[in-house]
Amino acid sequence: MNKKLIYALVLSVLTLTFSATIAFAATKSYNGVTTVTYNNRIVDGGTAGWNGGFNDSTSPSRVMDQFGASVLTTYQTCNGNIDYSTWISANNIYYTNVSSVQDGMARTKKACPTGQARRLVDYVNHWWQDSPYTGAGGALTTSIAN
Amino acid sequence: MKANKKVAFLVVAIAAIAVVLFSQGSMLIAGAQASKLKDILNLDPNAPKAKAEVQTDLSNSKKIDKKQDDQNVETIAKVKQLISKAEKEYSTEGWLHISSSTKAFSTAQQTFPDGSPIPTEWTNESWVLLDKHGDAVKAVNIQDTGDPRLMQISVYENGTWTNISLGMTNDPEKYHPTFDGGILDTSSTYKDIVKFSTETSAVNGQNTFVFTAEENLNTPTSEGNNKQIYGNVVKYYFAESSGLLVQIENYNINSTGALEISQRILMNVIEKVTEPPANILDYFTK
Repeated sequence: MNKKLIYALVLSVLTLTFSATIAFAATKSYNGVTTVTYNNRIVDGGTAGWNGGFNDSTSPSRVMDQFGASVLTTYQTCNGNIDYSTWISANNIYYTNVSSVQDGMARTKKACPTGQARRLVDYVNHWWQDSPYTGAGGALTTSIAN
Repeated sequence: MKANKKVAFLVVAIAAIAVVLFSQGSMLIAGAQASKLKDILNLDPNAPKAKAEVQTDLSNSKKIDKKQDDQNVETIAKVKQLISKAEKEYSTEGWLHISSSTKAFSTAQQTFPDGSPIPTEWTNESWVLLDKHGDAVKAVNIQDTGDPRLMQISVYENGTWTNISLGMTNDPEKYHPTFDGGILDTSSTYKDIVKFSTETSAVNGQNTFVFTAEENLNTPTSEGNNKQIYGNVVKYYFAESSGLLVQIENYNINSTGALEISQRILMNVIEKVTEPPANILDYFTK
């Protein structure tokens, strides 16, 4: 009886672990019909400002119910560390019934301490929904020294 | 004998399960500790790096005239002369230690995704090993807001910066610390849109030359929920005696043309040292 109980426990643990892995992998699946191209974009506007954003499109052209980004975060780093005062994030920036999309956030620049290298960082979690499919394009990070 | 085999099998199976569960549990705990900052910022440190599609658009910046251009040339010559003093003494082979304090008077956003307020003050400690050309061989940069959850430590080694607090690694890049605060790069990259001027001032009892870089916009821009910005001013305060930067200030220009300070960085210490403390050296793999 005890042996059966132990075997059952072993089997349960292995099954739960396996199920969790499968569920995680399933969230990465794609429609498979349309190719979605994701591009991060940084526009340098001088000493005063810059703009971090994205340009995404479908090929062959396919109108999506919703198209854009679930998260757009931009910030500056000084020698690898984020300058928190420059950190800004927006959620659910998407457009409806479009086959291409572009958007971004206007930003001002701030100085780094002397001796440190500044980078502008554009982090985008690209996302689309075309019923019944929902696709996470995944997060992409772009940065430039400036 | 048969019963003994079964018992042995069960013992091995239970031990194997215990090892698996323990290792998974340990990984979860370690992962939870390492992931605090990335969770606060809602960032995926493993996000692939997209090739930078960088454009330059200076069409919204007012162009400077010939008279201003001549003044810029004169001002930048003064900056170069002053900085050469500092470079001669500090951009030399060995360890460089730089300490600073930053105060942000405005932030792009009020809170992080978890609702916690974005800090407005922090200190920065940099330790950099320079080669004989003034290029960094390795470096550590520690940013401390006073909140351990938000502390950031970045390490430069093998030509790459890694923010070990976030688990994010940059692409390889050359790191050559400069002592101009970026004013020389600004003067060459944005020479058609930036006005440079100079004056004198005192910072913490030190006589300084203040070099001001000003850019004005054709159409105001805004950031987050902040007010409209009509331009940008950066003031660089260099000590007359050493040529070292002692302070940098960022300002926004408002609708009336007045300056509103957005950030001030006070340089506390810039020094050459024989070796950093042992706890700093521990961040390097070799």
